[in-house]
Amino acid sequence: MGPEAQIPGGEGWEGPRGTNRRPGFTWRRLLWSLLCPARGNRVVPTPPGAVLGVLCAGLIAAAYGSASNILFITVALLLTSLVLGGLLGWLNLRGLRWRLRPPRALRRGQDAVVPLELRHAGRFLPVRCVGFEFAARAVPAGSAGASDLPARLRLASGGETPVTGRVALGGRLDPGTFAEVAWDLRPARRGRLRIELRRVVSVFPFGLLRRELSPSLAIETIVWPAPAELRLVGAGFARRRLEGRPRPRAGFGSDLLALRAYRPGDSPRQVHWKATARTGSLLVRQPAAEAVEGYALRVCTEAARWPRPVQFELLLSVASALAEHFYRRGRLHSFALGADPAFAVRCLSDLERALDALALAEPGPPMPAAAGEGEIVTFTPEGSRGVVAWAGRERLAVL
Amino acid sequence: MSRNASRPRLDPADLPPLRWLLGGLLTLLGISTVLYTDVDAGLLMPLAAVVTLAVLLRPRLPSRVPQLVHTLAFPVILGCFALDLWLELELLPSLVRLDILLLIYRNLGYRSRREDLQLIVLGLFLVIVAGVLSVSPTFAVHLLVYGACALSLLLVLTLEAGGGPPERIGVADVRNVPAWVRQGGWRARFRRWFAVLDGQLAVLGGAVFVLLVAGTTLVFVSLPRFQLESGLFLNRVITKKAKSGFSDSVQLGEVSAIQLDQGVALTVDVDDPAAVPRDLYWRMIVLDEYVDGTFRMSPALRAQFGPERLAAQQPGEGRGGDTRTTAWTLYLESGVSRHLPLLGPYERLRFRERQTFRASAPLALVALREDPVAMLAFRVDGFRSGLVLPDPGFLARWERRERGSEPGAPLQATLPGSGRDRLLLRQGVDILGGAEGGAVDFARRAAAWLRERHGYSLSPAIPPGAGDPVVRWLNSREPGHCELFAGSLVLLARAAGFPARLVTGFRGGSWNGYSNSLTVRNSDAHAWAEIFDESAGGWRRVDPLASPVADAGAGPDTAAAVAPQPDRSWEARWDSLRVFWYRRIVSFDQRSQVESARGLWAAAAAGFRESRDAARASLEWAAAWWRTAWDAERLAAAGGVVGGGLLLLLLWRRHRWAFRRGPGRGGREAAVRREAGRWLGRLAPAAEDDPERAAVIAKLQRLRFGAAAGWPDPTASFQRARQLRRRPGQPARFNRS
Repeated sequence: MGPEAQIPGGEGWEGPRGTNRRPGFTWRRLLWSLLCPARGNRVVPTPPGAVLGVLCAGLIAAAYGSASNILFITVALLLTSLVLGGLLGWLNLRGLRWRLRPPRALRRGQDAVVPLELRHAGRFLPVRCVGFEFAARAVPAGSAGASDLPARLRLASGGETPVTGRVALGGRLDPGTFAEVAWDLRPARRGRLRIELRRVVSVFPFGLLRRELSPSLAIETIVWPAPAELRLVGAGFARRRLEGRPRPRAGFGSDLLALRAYRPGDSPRQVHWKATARTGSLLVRQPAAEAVEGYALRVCTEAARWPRPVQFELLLSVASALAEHFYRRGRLHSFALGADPAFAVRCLSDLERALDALALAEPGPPMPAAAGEGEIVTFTPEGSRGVVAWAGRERLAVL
Repeated sequence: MSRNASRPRLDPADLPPLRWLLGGLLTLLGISTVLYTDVDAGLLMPLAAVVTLAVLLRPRLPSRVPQLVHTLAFPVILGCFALDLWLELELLPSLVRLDILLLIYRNLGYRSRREDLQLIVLGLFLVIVAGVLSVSPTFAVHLLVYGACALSLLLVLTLEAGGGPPERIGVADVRNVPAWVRQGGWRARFRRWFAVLDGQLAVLGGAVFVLLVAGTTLVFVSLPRFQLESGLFLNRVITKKAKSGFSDSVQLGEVSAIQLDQGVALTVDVDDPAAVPRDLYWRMIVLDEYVDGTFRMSPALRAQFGPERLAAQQPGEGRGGDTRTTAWTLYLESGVSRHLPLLGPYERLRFRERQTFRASAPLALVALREDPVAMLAFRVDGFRSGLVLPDPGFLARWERRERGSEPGAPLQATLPGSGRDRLLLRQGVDILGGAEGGAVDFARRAAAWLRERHGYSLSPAIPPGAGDPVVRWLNSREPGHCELFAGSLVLLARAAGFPARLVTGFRGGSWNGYSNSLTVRNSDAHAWAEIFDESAGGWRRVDPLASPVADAGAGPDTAAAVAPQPDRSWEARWDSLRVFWYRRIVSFDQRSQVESARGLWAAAAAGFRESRDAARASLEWAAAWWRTAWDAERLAAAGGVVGGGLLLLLLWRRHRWAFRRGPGRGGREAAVRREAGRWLGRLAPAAEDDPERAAVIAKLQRLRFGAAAGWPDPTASFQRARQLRRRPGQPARFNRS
């Protein structure tokens, strides 16, 4: 995004000093911070900086051994370079603010982008050469209450090695401008995923000192099951119109659902001129979705039926793929998972709710028998590896 | 904002050639420091300079270097170093040559980040070694320029890596031609760098450099000073031979050869310039043995030196009757001699760091064990310079010999052995009237006779033939240099029966009017004679080339000092810088730290007092001025001040937006928007029949809300709005936008 872009406002911005702006500058606070630096804010020498430090130590020994002021001057220059580098590095990060905006949900096994929004709140110097280290780790089931803990502690408590990555701010970020860096992530497991900005790192300006900030910025998102490539079978999958049973939702059928305000992109043919004339504002016809035969997905997660974890994962993948497939065609009426009650799927958020449920599904008790609108789709194991979707007594899909 | 947007930005593709250029500059800066050291790198230095310049100008050249060179480079370089060390047996010069070789090789390939860092360290090593060896004031400039270039290179390396992890490129990639080498030339690259250089970056770079200098000064002054060990460690890794002829054995012409060098040999700080005598003779070596054109220090004279000792100070015997002791701080350049130049007996001699030396009180000489590898600073309190150097021991022996109690004991080394030479000398003594009148009278007559017979020349012509060269010259009328004059006088005095000896050192010096110090150059090298004066109980200085008045002992040498004649030439200006460097930097020690702190405190206190007094005086002046009767002139002055202030305030209010720069809340764009908002608030909405007002308001609205890229000229828009507001009929203030 260019420098002319509108700077996004809102909450969630964090900077080198955390989310809450601390009180103003006082010498006492500065001296205290030198003695006891803020947590997660450290400066470590890089390999060239360590070499310079060793060189400095040798020169200091030689200078004191020989009382040579030439060596003292050299030592003074090297020490000043280190201090100046630290000062400029501090100034470089001082005005930077960041905000993590992960997508609503990720797909297991598919590339996703985790965007990090950056804003330069300073006034004078641009920000350069900043790297961001991310980590992502699956949150164990039942640990929702632990989300109150700091992200680093939560990650440390988990046994699984997190997926880490590093992205850099290319170029410079001028004062008052906005930019975005993205971390490419491919989740390996479904379920809850905690994404954390582990470190903000900069070796600016001389590469002698690495300034590391450890922001407490972490968010949780959800990873849906990997979509299975379905092999649809059976005549029941053919699309059949159901006369006299319109779907109460917007679509592109021939029945009028409602009148609504004109939106850019609407066809002029859809304009309802009479209503427009009466109300004085432009109104268009909103047709209802075509009435088609629908399905009610019933995903049984009974542990006795799905003893193999791999097959269970496959079940969830097939179920999510079918749910999306039916929804895109307007044929998904309701969804139920395990012992949870079924709910109607009318809009995208309902579908996402279904996928969320699949993402968090665990083998559980048997599913109670229930009726629903449309044909009920169930799933059974096929051998030791496969899964079959049934519409009534008809095989719908096999994997 | 629009201007900023149109300015080209630094691109990652601009950085590799800049890195290459800075690396070349660092190499050149590093190897150029070898010039002011005595390390023998006669062939390597030009080779390194040529290679560096060639690859700088033609970056394609490294791609043509055969792979075999890269394969064999390090073994060959290490082999050269081992061979060099084995042949020369000196570690530091070998290390310097190894460093230059490595620098050459680093320029023969395309460098990775790691190799650029190596290059910085290699160059820094050369700069430090050169600084320590030379203690030259140019070291400070060199180090600062090198530091600035090195930090620039580090900055470029950081920018090149961005925020990502640093690249890892091995040695195998040195021949991979980077893309930038194939694109454009240096002219285009410089043009591009100039285009991306904006004022803010230039100011920032300048500020960082100033901070670097200020910080270095502050840290240098603040570092606690104490010495852990004795002696300069470089003495152990390098040996240095004095370039001059001031050694234990001086051949004819060696001292005169030094006079051809105009370089500074000695700089002297005197805390009381009035104490500087007119005739300055810096004694370094006393030579009493003469054989065939070579003067040496006899074993008997050597025995007068005390045992070798490691110490930082040496008490002397020159405690005179002065009520105030004058302190002389001497800075002896490296390569002059291990014998310290002294005016005579002294009260106390102190070195900055402990030295290994031998001192002789009767000779008033001090000799270090080794030639100093760097400038040597020492302080002498209470010099007692004079025509006569007391020698009670020699006087006692002389008196015993006169009384006949020690008839066979030789007082001095013998004269030239040839009978013909002795005869010629005897004839000379006869011409001078023999030994009648005592040593002083004889010396005066001999000096006058020599001046009458011979002219002065740095290129003497000694007649050919057999016998001693000094005797041959003495019997001719050829011109000669100071050694021939002094040597002749010594031989004549001995032939007359007066003990005499040759002394070498420096004579005179120029008073620097800028630094208020004394500068003695190598061209002031001199040789003179000392003849034993029984009546004075010591050795009387006799300089055949000096004015007869000084020789007579009636000049200020004996008592009072004369005001020095200041030198205000350009050379003196440069020398004053050198003196400043020696005084304030090289000689900075714990005592200087304390003095600086006290001075700072005193200056701060004085500044505070002065400010307070100035404020009080200003208030009193203002009160008095206010109480004075008012007249037209005072009213006009007061009105002018108030009016000027109001005018400035008005100008600031009108044009404050124009002083803002850059984007952001405090930048120019925000200031223009705020100013447009103010004007929109002041102007009434346009009526239908007032298209001009509508146009102005539209422009202001574009300035207030529109994209900066499509702005009209803010200055003209605000000017027009101001005119509209002054127009009669302008309604009262409208609601602010």
